[in-house]
Amino acid sequence: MTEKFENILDKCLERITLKDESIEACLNDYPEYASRLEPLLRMAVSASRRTHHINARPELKLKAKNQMLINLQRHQQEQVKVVRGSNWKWSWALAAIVLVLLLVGSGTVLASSNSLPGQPLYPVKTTVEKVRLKLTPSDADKAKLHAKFAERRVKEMVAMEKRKKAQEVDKLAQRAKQELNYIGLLAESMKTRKNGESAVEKLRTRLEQSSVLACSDSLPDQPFYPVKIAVEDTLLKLTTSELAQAKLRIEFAERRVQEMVKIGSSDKTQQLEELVQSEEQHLGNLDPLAESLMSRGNRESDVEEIKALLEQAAVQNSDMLREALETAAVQIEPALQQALETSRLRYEKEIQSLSKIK
Amino acid sequence: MQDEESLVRRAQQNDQQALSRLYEEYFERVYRYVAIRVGNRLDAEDITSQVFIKVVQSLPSYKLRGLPFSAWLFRIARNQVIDHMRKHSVKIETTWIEPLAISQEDPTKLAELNIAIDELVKALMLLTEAQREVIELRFAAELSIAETAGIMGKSEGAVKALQYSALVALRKHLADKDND
Repeated sequence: MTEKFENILDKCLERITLKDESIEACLNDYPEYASRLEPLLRMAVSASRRTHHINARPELKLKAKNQMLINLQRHQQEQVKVVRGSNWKWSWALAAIVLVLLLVGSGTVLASSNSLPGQPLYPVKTTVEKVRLKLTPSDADKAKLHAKFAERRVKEMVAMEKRKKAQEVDKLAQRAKQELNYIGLLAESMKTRKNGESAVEKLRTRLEQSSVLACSDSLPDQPFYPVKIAVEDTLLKLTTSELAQAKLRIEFAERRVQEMVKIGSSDKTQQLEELVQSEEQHLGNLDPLAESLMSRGNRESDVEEIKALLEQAAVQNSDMLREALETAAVQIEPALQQALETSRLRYEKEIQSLSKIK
Repeated sequence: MQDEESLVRRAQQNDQQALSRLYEEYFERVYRYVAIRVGNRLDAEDITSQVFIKVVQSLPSYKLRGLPFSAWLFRIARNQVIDHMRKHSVKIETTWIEPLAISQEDPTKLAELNIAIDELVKALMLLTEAQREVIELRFAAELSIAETAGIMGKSEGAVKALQYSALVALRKHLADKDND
């Protein structure tokens, strides 16, 4: 009895607070409880109204926001410091090790460059990499080294996959991802400096020509997929213009749809849902990018270009998903149908939203 | 508001714009929750600022598939209030909350609202800790039963029962006040 009353009370509170219904409407639906409900509902409404008159001073709101954003910048700088390596003691110790190795024979270091995880010279290879990073002062050069090391990790993944060492492949994927994340972090720091944007663009060109892009065809259940996503994230961070970023986001959203189509013949519903989320995330970024473009001057032609690309992608993706539905595995069909509908609505929403930006 | 999950993901990647949007969405609710808990404006301002700094520090470790973002955020706010109370060994004060929303319109109305809020804070202090928390999370922070349950580590049924007993007690204390 009590339990039931508590539920009714809560249902009424939800109706009043969320749906703006009146207390009377609720009491009419529960006449047998009206006398108990009414004073409690009025109490709840009164408490809610009183608290809603507590507002922060506008200057506090602005000050707290600035403090938060300053903290975000500090946080980013700290992450970059970690990448740069502030522990000189450690870096000199590593340098000493490598010096010894060089004295023992530079052939050892050279020979280690082709070694693979599990082989005796592999620790030499990774130590040399660490020392090279520590001894490289500029962020741009450090980022180039991280790009090179990411390529190496991917090559090692290929080799380990051939040897059927799945666990090792996954570990290397995480390390390749880490190298790519460092590039993104260093790029954020470089952008804030003089001529930083052009240096970041050069890095992007370097990454676009890199062998890590070989991961681009991988699918969500494959070991190279985390690297593919890390490459996409890094490319976005290395892209300085909003228009180019928007184009990349549309391209990556299309990739998610292509992946949905490819896994449509299996029963991987969970992966399908994650792909839908990732597609939505890319599309959801277009609106703020377009707003940012417009806030920096009259860039209507750029927004129109984004909109045209989006309209084209909406048709293509919709067609692809419809085709996939015809041959989809029975288990995944409802999820794929849902993905088609979600995707269609998201594209429509984004196109409408871009049309409103003036 | 843009899809919250996507904003949280972007904020986790240090995207200022996404973080600012989340801030705009939650700032007033967090401030209200903190203010009603600590009962004075200066502490409420200080703690609310700290909450969002803590959010920046903790966001990288937030898991999207865990506690909803709103519940996670208010859990930080709750912990900040508890820390503040412990550090400063303060008791709740009830005289400095100023209803700024109407502060320049009508001084008489402003005074009446001040009294009404003051009465509510005092009445809340007479409830049990759990009852009080439910009222604060449900009506000041505007959280759902599920979110409140997540923060308090209780079942939804237990939170509904607490909500019921809290409203009964609150009504009694406010009525007693009127009769004084």
